[in-house]
Amino acid sequence: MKYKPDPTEVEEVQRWLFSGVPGGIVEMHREPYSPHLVIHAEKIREVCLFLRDKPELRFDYLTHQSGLDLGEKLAVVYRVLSLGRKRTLAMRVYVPREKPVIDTVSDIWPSAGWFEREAFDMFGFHFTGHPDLRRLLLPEDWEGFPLRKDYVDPMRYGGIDNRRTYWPEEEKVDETT
Amino acid sequence: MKEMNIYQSVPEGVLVTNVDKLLSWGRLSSLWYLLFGLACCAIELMQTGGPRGDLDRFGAVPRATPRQADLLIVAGTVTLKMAERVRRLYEQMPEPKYVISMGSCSNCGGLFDYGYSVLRGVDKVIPVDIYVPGCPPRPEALTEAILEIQKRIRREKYLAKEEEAAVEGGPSGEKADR
Repeated sequence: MKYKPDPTEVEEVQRWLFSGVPGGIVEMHREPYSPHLVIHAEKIREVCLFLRDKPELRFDYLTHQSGLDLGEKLAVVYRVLSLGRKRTLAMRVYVPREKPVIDTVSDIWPSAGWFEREAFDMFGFHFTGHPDLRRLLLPEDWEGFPLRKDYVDPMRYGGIDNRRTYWPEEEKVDETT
Repeated sequence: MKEMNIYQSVPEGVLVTNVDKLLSWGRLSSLWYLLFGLACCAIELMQTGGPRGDLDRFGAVPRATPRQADLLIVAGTVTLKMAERVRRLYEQMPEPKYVISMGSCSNCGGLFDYGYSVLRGVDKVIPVDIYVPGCPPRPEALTEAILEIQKRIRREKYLAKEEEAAVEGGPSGEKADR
């Protein structure tokens, strides 16, 4: 099985999508280490259905889905794999930081169910249409989304005082939060 | 109790001691610990209970329920989500109960001190008797901690303590003279 991404494959998929889903692609990146397509947020379901069902592509397995915090905006990252065609594809969707809402793909690839719950847990994406969007790893009553860059570590949780009992002098920080 | 040949010490088949000593001896010789591992320290805990460490020779055998356990060995990283569960397990154990904090993580957060979800020391949620340093501690270190707990139990006068607590109106079986 070939897992190494090939820039020419991205170009091929881009050609298919260009005719299959008009207006679906925002931009294409051909960098040898991270070739990926940037998909329009409204078209993500259409693109994913096309990638899965087109006989020439048949991306039947979502291997990874996660989030990125890029500062002014957030990104959802998708990595799909075609077991039959032996190829992979990486996709990104940018969403605004204030309103990180995006359509779910959990009914297209069932493995997205927990991926999207984790992404919600860590970044606070709201996946519209997800059947059970709860926190996956952290407790239900946790506040904030830890993998966002502006997240502040809590010093207490549920009545537990979690401040350090010993601080090295040079690392003394404000513990009032 | 002085160690000597059992036949020499009880020639008539009669042993004179007091009840507290007998009870303490019984308790320290059957220190059942809760089968509870959280991270890589649990591997060393298993190794200690295995044939080479052989914790069984001190009467310490694992129990799968807190209601039958005397000793809680917190082996591994305690996350904030797990902290409530650790406390609940501790509360379910019958008195008298003892706690060993095994490894850097449960002592103070250790390697994951800077993690947002990690409890910085299990002593923030339950009282700890012995801290075992190491990342993870070797089976010998954990065995040493068990022996130390046994020494403490040998010194304890549990019945006298309980009576004292009843006179004072405090909760019975409360931990004292630590």
